[in-house]
Amino acid sequence: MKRHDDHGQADDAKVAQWLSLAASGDQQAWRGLVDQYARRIFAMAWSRLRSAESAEEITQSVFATVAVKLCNGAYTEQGRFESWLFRVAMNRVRDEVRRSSRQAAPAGPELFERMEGRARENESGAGSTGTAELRRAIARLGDSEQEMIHLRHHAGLSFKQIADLLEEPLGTVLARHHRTLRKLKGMLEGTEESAETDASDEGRYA
Amino acid sequence: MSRQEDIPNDVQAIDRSLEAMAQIDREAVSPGFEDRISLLTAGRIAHGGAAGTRDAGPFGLRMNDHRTVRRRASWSMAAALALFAGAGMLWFGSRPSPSLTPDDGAGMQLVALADDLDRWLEMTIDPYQQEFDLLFAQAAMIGDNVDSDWIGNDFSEDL
Repeated sequence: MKRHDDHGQADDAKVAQWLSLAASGDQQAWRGLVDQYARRIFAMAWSRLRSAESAEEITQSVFATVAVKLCNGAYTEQGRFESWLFRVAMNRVRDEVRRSSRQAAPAGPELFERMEGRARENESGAGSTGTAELRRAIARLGDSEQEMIHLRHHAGLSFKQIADLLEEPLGTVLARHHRTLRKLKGMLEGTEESAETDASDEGRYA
Repeated sequence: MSRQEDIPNDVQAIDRSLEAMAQIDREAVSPGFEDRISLLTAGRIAHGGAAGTRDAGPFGLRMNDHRTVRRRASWSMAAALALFAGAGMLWFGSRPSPSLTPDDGAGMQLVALADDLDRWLEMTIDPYQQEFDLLFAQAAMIGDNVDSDWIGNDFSEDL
């Protein structure tokens, strides 16, 4: 089962149908794609950029690109749409991170509190314990580690899709993800060195 | 939720926390989010992607068109008001009665009418101006992004 099925989302056949119809100008099919993916792109961008406005702009930009490439034939569906879509999104986020890092001051703790406050307005209550601490820990990760978290959890991609997107072997992606989780766990428990103790993961999955 | 068989036991708890956090973030969009995204991008689908020129926004509208139309309308209104006021002053000035000046009677009404028109113009145009500006700025940004090459990226977006 593909991972996006776990979120109760459309299967590959449905997405392929939407893509085909949207490419020929079908507005309903396009809306289906927007409903399917816009929030996942937004969440990925918002978690990285900590700006709802930037996240929404990036989401618009990604869909504008998809629309153009669908209609002019630059994209041909081969069952890899999600990998491509989130590669476009990841590149936009990277560009924005680079752009904003040249202008903005580094994020302080109060920013994470504001993020948490905004998120709480929308949450249903489950799983919120320690989320602010988790966000702070993620912000201390390296760029590639943060990307791994965002692609896996916010974008909701499978490890296979992430491997496809990053053009890395599946074993490497699995090892990186697990190493990142252990690093996060170490940060939250105050034993960050635990992240260093399992460098053999890559060999395990290779 | 992640497929837990892919996740080692010792990090399954934090994996679940990350999933919960991601779910919260997906719900953090403002109301009408999908409507806005769809509205601002559907024009490219409708036009078969042909609206990708640098100066074109969604639905083929252009920022310059919008600004030009409004500027022309504003100047036309101002010119009409000036002509109207000038004609009124001439008419009052040519009347023989020494008691009539632009400061009293019908002259005051004319000035009040001009003020009312001015206020009406502000009320009808300005509240929407900011939204129009935002919409067209976003459209222009999307147009720029679509047309740019994103050379700085590490990964090709072409499959």
